[in-house]
Amino acid sequence: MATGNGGAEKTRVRVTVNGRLVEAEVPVNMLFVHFLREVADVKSVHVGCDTSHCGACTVVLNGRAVKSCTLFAFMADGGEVLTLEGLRGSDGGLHPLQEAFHEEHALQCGFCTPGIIMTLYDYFGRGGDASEEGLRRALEGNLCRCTGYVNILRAARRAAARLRIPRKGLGV
Amino acid sequence: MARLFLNRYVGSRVKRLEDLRILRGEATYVDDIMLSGMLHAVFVRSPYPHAVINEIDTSDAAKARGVVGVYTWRDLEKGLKPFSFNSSDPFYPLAKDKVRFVGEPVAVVLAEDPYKAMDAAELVVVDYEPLEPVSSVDAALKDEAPRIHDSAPSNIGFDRTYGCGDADKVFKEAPIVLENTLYNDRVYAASLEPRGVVAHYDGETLTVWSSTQTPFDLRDEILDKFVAPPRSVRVIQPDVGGAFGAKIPTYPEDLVVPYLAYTTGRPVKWYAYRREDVVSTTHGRDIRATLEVAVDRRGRILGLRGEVVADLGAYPLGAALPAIATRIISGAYDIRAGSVRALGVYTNKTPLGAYRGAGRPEGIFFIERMIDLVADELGMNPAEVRLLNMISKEQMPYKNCFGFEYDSGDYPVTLKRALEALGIRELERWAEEERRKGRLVGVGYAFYVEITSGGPFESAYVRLEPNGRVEIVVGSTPTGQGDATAFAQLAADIFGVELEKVRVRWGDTGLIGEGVGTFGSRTLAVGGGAVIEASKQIVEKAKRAAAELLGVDEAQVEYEPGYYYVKSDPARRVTLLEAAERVYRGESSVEPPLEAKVLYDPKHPVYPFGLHAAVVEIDGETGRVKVLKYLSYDDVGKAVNPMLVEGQLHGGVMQGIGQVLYEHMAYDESSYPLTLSLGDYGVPTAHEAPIEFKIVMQETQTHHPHGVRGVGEIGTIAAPPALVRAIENAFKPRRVRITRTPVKPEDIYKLVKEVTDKI
Repeated sequence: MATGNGGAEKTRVRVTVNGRLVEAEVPVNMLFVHFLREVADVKSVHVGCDTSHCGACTVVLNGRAVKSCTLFAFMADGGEVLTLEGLRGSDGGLHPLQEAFHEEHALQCGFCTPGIIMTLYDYFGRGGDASEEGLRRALEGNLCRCTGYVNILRAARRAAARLRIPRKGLGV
Repeated sequence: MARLFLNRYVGSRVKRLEDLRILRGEATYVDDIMLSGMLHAVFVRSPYPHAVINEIDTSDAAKARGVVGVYTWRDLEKGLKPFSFNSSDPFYPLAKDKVRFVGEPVAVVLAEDPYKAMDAAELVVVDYEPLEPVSSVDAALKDEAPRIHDSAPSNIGFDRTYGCGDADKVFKEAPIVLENTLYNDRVYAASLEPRGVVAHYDGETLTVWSSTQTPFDLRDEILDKFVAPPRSVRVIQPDVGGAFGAKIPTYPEDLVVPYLAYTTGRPVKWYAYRREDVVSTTHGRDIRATLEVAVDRRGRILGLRGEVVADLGAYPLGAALPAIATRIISGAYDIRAGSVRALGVYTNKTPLGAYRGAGRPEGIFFIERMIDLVADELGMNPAEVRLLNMISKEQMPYKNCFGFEYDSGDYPVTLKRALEALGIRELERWAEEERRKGRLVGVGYAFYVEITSGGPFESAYVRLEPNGRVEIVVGSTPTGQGDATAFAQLAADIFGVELEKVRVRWGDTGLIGEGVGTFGSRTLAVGGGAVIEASKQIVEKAKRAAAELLGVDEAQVEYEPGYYYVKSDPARRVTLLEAAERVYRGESSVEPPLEAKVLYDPKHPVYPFGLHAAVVEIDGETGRVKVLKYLSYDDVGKAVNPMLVEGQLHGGVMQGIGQVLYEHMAYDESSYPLTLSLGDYGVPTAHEAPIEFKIVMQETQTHHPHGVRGVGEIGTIAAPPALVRAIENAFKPRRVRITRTPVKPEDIYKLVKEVTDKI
């Protein structure tokens, strides 16, 4: 378990993860992505690079999508996190984004999928529209190597229609 | 059997069975395997492309907090054997006394957590004596070049000439000879999930989880390379976050991590940092061709000759790649004389290996570029040149000049249909008009044929349970393509059961002992064939139970998906499940269970073919290329699930576009890698996806018993020559020639300047 450098000072971190309070004493240099994966046991948050390029670790922290590898765990202290595991539709089933990804074959290996869905969730939540340019810009921090993005964009548009997101808006 | 499938699911856009786990966040990739007491491995890697190791001092690292052990080859050599090759020195899992590429593993640190292991790895002191690096094939082939492998007489790792006819005579007599040097530069597969391995030894079984395409090979390699292997080795392929050929080889870490788990008795995990994955996972392409084509005045190609040279990097993991590129180099064309030398040359770079297409993208790029050259030089339409030279349907099966035997296909008709179906003529007229208005837009296309579904075999175990549930275990090892859904479709339609009743598992040598894996676009044709054959055996086996129920002789019974009937009186029938229940109740002379295991080998590969086209626009001020439209017309045989076929095309094409416009695994002139992150390397983002993507599928007869051809690698094969031609055509009526990939904005900007300066 990545409990952090042996010499590093420890600090108490309390984060609400998908509605569940997770509290632990962790090294100050522990990355938030490792806190989520190994302390909070949220495995949909993936590590795909060391440089914050891939977006596979994207989660929604305090209402904004963040790459959880760009934060130390202590920086999220007191925060509220939503990951793919916590995403639900209004009926408690799959969220329209999850449904649309299934219907449009917008995932293959699935490694990037959690980050991409959380990015789109945040984008639509902040009033992002379903325009071609808007969606592509929203996704520019998330890499996918399998789908060529074609079906991801289709799924995003399908989900947007279901969420009553306008095709063209003011943009985010 | 009257007909094989019900066609209820086969041929339909069935949604994937794989999705829900992933969409709920329940997938398990190798980094998600967490075992109690698990140690973390971090590898110390060579910072030099070529050096002798004088000494490794691990004493400080060993004393660091949380460190359990630090190991070099000296510590492992009693228990572990290196990878050995005919044409090179052995590849030691930890370098023995020499390093041959930046990133080669030299030592490994085991610690209680990865942070501590990482910190301790920096305390390992290696005394290197740098040697002159060999940074290119041209440098490697010079007489005075430093030798990369002491046991090899030169830096050549592969050398064989392929051909047919009397090429020299043809070239001597040909009225026209055209020459060109073409190059696909080095790329990196860049799976979103880097490689990783976890291993655990329980005193009897060594269990290994690896992000691999070849768990069976890995099991066999462990049994082979461990001097005293454990009683049992089980390799599990967990969910794999993309592979694209680069997860075919057994890597040093795949041996060292299990070995350390075996010898320390504690579970061990290694999960690659991206910057180490970039330099330690095999690279692709990096093949150059210098070709001459002999042509008559009408545009008929008389002969092809030249040299295909691959930069193999430091070890011969990809030694077959120049051969594959060469053997497909006549493409879809009937070329009767040829001589092409395939060379693989060692340099001090990361070893070359398979990357989606593995030699076919290069071979097809080379021939399609030569065909366009012929068209341009003779002032002919490229479609005309292709039609004039194509292998005709009557010639099938056709053995090409370089040794591949194509199974079937009507290439000329397909070319004509594709141009029509994709509206290429209209697009060309539109582009011409737009160019007159000053836009730099171009339409380009290429025709491909490729070999898929090679041997040896693939395995499937199928069991029909009394409640109608179907349990399938396959030796195929999909890494995101959706093959489990396709397999379930096949079985459901043979048995006439609901798709929901079929469960497909794969990637575990503990579930099925024999298997090969997913690569070379073979999974549906070979692995699917195994599922079909095993299912058919079950139908055959239950037939006697059906005959007993029907009260007739077995010879009187026929099967239609879902039920048996009496030949002479088709109204008399029993369902497969009624027959199965009888078997499981012990009321039949058929012994339960109803199961079958098949190792299926279709013997002959199959050859998909088709035409891909791109419409591009160049921004003259920046040199940036936008792909406005991408259009494909493919003969994939029977499309068991058209949605999955489209997914394979979308992804493969994007990688092809990436190879042409963005991706470059760059090295400097001293063999140091320059692109160590996904950003520097240039994995395309959503911005780079084509604005429009149109797919047309054609199905014609194949020689494959179940009518399928592979589809996984079409995109990376067809996209580069089509896209490069579209870029060239954006400069029309001026003629520019692009001979290499990638072609970056700065290259295109230069072309724009050259062309506009000429005006």
